[in-house]
Amino acid sequence: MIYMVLVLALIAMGVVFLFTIKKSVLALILAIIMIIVGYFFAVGMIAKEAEDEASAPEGS
Amino acid sequence: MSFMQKLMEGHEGGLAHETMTPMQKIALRFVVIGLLFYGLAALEGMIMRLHEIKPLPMIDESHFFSIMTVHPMVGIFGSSYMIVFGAFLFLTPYLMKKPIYSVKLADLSWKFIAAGTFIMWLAGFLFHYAPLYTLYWPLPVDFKQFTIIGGITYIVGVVGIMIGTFLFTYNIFKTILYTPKGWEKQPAWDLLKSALGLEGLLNFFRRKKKEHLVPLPIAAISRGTIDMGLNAIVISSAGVLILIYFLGELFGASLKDTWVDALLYKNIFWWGLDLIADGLVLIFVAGTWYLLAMLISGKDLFMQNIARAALFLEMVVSWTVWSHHLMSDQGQPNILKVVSGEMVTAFELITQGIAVFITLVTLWRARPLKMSNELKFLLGGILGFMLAVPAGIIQADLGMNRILHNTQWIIGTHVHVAILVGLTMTLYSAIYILLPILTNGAKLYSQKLADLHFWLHLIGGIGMGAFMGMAGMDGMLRRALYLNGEYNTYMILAGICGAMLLLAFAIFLYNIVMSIGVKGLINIYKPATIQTNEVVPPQKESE
Repeated sequence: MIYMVLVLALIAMGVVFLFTIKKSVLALILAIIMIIVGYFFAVGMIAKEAEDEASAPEGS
Repeated sequence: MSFMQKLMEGHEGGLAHETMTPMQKIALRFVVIGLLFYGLAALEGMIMRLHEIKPLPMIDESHFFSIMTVHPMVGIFGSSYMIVFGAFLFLTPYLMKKPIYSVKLADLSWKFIAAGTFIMWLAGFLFHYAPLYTLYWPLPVDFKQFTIIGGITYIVGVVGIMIGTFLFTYNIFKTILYTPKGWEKQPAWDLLKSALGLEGLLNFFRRKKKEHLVPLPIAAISRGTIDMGLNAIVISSAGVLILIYFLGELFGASLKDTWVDALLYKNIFWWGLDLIADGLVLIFVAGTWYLLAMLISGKDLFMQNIARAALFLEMVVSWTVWSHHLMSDQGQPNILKVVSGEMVTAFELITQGIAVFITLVTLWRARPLKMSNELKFLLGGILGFMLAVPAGIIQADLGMNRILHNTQWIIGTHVHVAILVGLTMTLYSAIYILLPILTNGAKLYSQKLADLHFWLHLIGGIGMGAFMGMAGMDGMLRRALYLNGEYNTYMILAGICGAMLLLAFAIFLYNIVMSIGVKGLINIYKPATIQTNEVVPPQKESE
């Protein structure tokens, strides 16, 4: 479940953002964009996993 | 049949649990626990209301604010999340006409969320941890007010809820995208594009339109689940941050709360919270209205393509709307107050208006319709949002926000009307329509009680929100305790309406218990005798 690993990484990123960003609208918006893109990537990994499982030969 | 017999066995045979699939049982487990947490939240609300009218001797100030902290958390996660998760874990495979990806993950989800909500509630009940649900920095780590054990218990509860939420999001997307054993290979990427609305967006620019691979309610569920996942990331990050401070304090290495920018924290926290408050509620609710309208009318949805586009738009709106919560913060940049706070927020009136219009026209075109329980609760839910969304737009005006910010108007006229009338009545509509599908045909015990439930809930919900709003316009703040009867007229009237809501819930619960019986209720939590990942028994599908 690479999705869960990526979600954990995004949570860690969120904590880092909370500690490091100070008084910057641009940094805030970039952080939000990174979380959105990162989460779409995580969801995309579910599609990849489903695609790989469907392509794998029976019984593998 | 005696009363006791009926209570135990249920109405007309009650719940035939041996015919139920594991997924039917799991969906009902979610709903039953969700309803019990709703009852707990309603009781907490009444306790706070009574304390505002005449201070209760067994409640001191710290206990009052700890109730205020857990009340919305129990209501949102313990109740709304549970009922929505149960319904969508059932409906997603049902509408996709394929088995659920994992029954085990679905079962784990309700256990994590139920346990997490209970642990979080204990943090308030036992340790009076009371940073309020907004967790504004640095209140959650104020060690002069709160104990370390209280804070850690609270965060452990939140972690449980978030684990359950991530398991739900994974299971939903995997169910939409995977290929069941023995099936022809499913196009996972194309399904994902369709579910997220990208295909619908590209269709606007194509001469030859591509067919949608997922039904419209699945698109709504997928887009709402994206917001739910993003929100869970933000809440989890805040939880980990708070936990770091607690562990530091516990091991003698106190961290300075000034290391975190309070305004930036508030921005990120509200960005995440608004994904469910504005985004998820409106997207999930719109999707549920569309599904209910189609099921009730038996017809296709009016303006399907516009509905899909509106859902996509709503997702973008939900990502950019948070700043209306920071309009009264002096340090918040004006550009965010105006663009995100006022302009994007006002756009919600359009997206919500489209959802109301499409649902009502779909129903109108199917006349004559029987005024069934699901139809009247659906209309009640639509009315709730038609009241609560404009109330939100009013308070998201820079001028009006100076008057209304942090008053009872916000939490009464906007939040409670949206959740209790808009969302809860929509969920009741879904429960009434899904009851026979989930139980393989259990009959409702009393129609008169269902009617009473409807009117008491509708009048109680709107009335309570209205009187809280009037108190707010007279200056009553939302997170303050008034012990000298300053707003007693409004509070007594809101209390009467609150009692109507509680009575409505008790009537509904009694009606459901009499329908499926106490034995049926217990049997929901016993393992299913049929072992299948299909959501309904095979013979039901072929009917």
